[in-house]
Amino acid sequence: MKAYQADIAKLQSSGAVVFGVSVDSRDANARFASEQGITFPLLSDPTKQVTTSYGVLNRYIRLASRTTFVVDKEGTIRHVQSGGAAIDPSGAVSACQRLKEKS
Amino acid sequence: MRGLRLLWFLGIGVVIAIILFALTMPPPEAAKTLKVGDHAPDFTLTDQNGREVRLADYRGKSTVILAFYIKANTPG
Repeated sequence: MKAYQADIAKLQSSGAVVFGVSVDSRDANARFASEQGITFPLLSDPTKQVTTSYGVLNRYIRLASRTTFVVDKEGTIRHVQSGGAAIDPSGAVSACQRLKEKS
Repeated sequence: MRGLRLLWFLGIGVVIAIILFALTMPPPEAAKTLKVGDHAPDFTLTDQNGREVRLADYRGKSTVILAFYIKANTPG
């Protein structure tokens, strides 16, 4: 999430709204945000329903797998990146810029 | 004694077969992770400040980046 915070200006200038999502509690996310200086919303999915519906719940550890989805204005997924590659937001940034140019 | 040893080898064989099977299976989440072109399921979740966020509220307004992360206070 630190990498997203570092690139937040780039992400927002491409017209995107950024959300972090995990199965953490709201309290854990509040601590995480204040300790790391994260200014974008960190969404709490303690029931794991949303994480499951996106197919990113790791069944062994019962936590989300690191995956980034870029969703366009129509609600369609336009970019997916997972694992180590999803730490770096630059793929998401360029996907957002492509979407911005199209619209 | 011989029967016992045979049973032992059979047992080891079964364990190895199970391990090999488990290793060659795709990760359980890989099969159904949403793909490009899929519809992003709507949700309402609460952020760290107690604000409710609904995905559908951004429909027609802006691109949304959903960055799923493993756990608070972990790198990445």
